[in-house]
Amino acid sequence: MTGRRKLLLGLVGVLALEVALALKAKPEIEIGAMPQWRFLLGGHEIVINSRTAVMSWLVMGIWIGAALLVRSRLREVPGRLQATFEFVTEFFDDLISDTLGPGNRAYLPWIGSLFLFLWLSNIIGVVPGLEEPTRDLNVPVGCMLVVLTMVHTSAIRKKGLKKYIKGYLQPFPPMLPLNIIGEMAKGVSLAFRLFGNIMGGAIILLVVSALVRHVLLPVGLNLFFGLFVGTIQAFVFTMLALAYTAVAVSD
Amino acid sequence: MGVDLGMIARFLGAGISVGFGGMGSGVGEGLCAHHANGAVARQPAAADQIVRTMLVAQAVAETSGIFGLLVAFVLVFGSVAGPPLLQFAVALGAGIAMGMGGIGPGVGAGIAGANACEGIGRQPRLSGLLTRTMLIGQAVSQSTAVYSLVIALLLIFVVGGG
Amino acid sequence: MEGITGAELVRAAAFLGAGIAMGFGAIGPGVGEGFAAGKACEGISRNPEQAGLLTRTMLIGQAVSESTGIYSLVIALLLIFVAAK
Repeated sequence: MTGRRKLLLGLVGVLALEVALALKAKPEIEIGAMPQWRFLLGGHEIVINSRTAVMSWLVMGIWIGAALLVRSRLREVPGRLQATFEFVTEFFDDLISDTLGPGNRAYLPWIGSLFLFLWLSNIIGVVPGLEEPTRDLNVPVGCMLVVLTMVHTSAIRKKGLKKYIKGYLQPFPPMLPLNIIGEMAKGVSLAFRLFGNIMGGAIILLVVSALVRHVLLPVGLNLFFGLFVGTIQAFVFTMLALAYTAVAVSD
Repeated sequence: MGVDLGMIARFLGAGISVGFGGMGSGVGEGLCAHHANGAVARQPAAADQIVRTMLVAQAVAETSGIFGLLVAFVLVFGSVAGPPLLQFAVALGAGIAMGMGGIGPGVGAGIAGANACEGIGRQPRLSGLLTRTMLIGQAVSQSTAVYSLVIALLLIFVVGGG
Repeated sequence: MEGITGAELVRAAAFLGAGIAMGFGAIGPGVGEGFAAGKACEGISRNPEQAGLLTRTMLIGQAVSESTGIYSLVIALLLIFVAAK
């Protein structure tokens, strides 16, 4: 009971802070503004999107810290935190053996951390002052490249290079360029689906906040776009990574 | 006569984008609710799972409508540079790409969601598996909406950004 | 309408064409892939043991029905980056 009250109190606090911050915010609309660090390294200018970098390291730091914390006090009878982590691990373990068949546990760390990273990245914008790293196209594209590498290497390892290349000549050899484009389009749609949803939510929030002068409505919208859409999109990204692997490995 | 071709096209494009883009999502979400209702009527004990899956399905089917809204906002509040005729083509092209492109995926995601709700009505204990399959199917059927978004944003920010 | 050159007209047409290509080209695949996903869900509720096979079949069918969407994407990109030079 008291735990629930604490949660409620925390939620109310976050909402109050949100309203306070929103009231102070300027009603200007800036789309795609990206603070950057620039420095020279060996004659090349290196550009880093500072906010994205800080936010994604924050997300990673939170997960690494949580994992270390849980590991340092592993017990036979799990506490609440440990039980949550075990639930997540088991969920993805089942998911992987459902889609790829049993005996594919090696995929668990990859799929699990992909989901956890994307999930926290998508919903971190709900906390006032923080911003989703996935709002920057570079982050989804990076995750997509990891996924594509994983899908194709596991296909080559499972089927052998010859059979893998033969797959691109289906149904007949002249389809080769289109098959390659189709494979690339998979990656494009994977990355842009995540980016479009998160960026879309962010822009709609920005515009609506400016229109209603930051009164109340954005809070609900923030919860919808931040928590609900963010969770679904992180899960969709992970599930598609798994499903693409299953298809690439199977035939 | 100071006719601002760019502005005309931006407003027209925004209308097309959100109008047509919302059409597909609307039909898709309606389909979801229709089949979910049927399933609840047949299997009232599973109402909880069915409604949950329906809401998730509708949120995903909404994506193409939200993309349409996004492009409309960008068109209305942003600006496009270049000669007037090019501004016109870029803004209208972006609106048509996202608006028309949003129709099919919205309906398609709705069909997937509808059948998933029906399936849960038939086999309530499979709700997790069915929701997962539905999400994969919907995500893939949405990829054309994502391509439309890519083309629309390319037109606005790369071509129209100067 | 003075001051509009022929080259400008061509570029404008290319951009508008890109929008039309991707916009209308996306309708069919979206609905078609939705049908595939819907039937896969139905099939799984009838025959849950074959869930993995059904999902894979669904993804392969969707990949094929998406190919027209990919043609549209290719044409739109060609129009934007090649034809409008």
